[in-house]
Amino acid sequence: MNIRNLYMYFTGFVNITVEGFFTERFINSCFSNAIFLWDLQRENSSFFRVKISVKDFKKIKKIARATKCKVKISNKKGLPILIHKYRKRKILAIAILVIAIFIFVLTRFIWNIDIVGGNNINEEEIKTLLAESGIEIGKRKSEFNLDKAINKIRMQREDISWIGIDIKGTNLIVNINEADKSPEVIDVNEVCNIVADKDGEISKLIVKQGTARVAVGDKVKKGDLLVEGVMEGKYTGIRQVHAMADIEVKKYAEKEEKQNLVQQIETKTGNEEKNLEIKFHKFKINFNKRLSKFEKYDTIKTTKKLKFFSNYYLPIEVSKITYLEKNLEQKEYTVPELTDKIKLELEQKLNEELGLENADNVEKNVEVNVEGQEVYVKLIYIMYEKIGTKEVL
Amino acid sequence: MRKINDIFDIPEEVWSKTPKITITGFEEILIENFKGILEYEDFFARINTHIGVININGFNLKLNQMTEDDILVTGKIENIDFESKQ
Repeated sequence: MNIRNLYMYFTGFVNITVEGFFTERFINSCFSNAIFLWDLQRENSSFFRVKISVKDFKKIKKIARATKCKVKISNKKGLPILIHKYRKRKILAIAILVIAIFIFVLTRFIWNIDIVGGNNINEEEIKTLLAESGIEIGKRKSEFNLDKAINKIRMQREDISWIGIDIKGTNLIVNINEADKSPEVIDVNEVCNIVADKDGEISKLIVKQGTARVAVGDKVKKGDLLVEGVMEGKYTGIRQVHAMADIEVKKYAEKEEKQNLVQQIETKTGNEEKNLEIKFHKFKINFNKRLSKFEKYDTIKTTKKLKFFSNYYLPIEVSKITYLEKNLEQKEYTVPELTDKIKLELEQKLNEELGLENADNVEKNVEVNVEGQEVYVKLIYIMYEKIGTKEVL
Repeated sequence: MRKINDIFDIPEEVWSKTPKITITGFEEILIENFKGILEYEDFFARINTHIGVININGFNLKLNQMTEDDILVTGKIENIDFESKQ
């Protein structure tokens, strides 16, 4: 029934009131003339409201005269009536047309690039590679040569095993499959030595084949010979073999920091200022040119790309900028509090330097020294790493 | 005629002029194959069919969708009774 209502909205309908003594006869003769009425509601014994389509309304006059009923239009509704109402508003019509054309033209271009997969692959690098083959934000879709671009990237990057490009609406989705680096295959029968490929102190040395030239506790440098592919036997004499060994080195990483017990701390006052920025592709509009009036503040910027549905991105970016006011405050720490704080900070710094996600599996040493008002903390990471590469003679 | 339709299991309201009355809840009644409206008031509706008259009592009765042979009555329906022609 709702579909019929929708259809009636598009063709237009009229709300009418019918008045007369023989209203039932009026309804029945409407049926017999195949006139569709709906939402009939009685107001009193000689008066009712009903809806009727525009087309049928023209036929109703004859019936009304025959049944001696008075028909009045209370209002007209529907799309044709709406268009008729706005027919003189040319600017509105032009504006709608312009917007429609604008959107149609905009959807011919690419406004967003999504890169899916490839956790260890830098998105910016992929984007510059794409740009080299002409795939860039703001370029026309029809000009793209996707096969060529894919081939080019595959040739240049060895760490990508597969790459696929999908265009959905104005969104370009790049799917990447990372390749695992295949280890160099060395024939077991070939004679080789094991050589250090990094510095460190040897903590574990298990030789499976060959003769060790270092011992546990030795400090080695890159390029040093660790295990020689030679075996000496009482009866067999010296023979050359394929060296095999598991070698681990201890590695240290350390960081230290000194901090005062009394510190100035930044606290938020709760005051904030908001600013809006709109970006059309490369053209920026700032609604509020001046900077924040706060002396000290944090800036938070959240950017959102406008889009229709899920894949029709528009070249419009709306950024909300919030300035949060900060205040400096004096705070006095106790020694354990400050130690914990410095330790956490150092841990974060070290993790960042070493590229670790967390330091749960690392052996840690902490040295704490209190000198009057100052606390000195030294954090040492002890890590075990595999070393040694095979070097064919 | 009836025998043929019994074999093919065609619904009766399709091939004869017998009305089909569908009541959904207490507020909606759909009558297919009706002939005409005899009386219609806010609280009372008499609908003529080929085999008799259907009387509907209630409040705020509205005739919602009307085509040549379907009619949908909505409103608070209190009771329905039939007057057979035979």
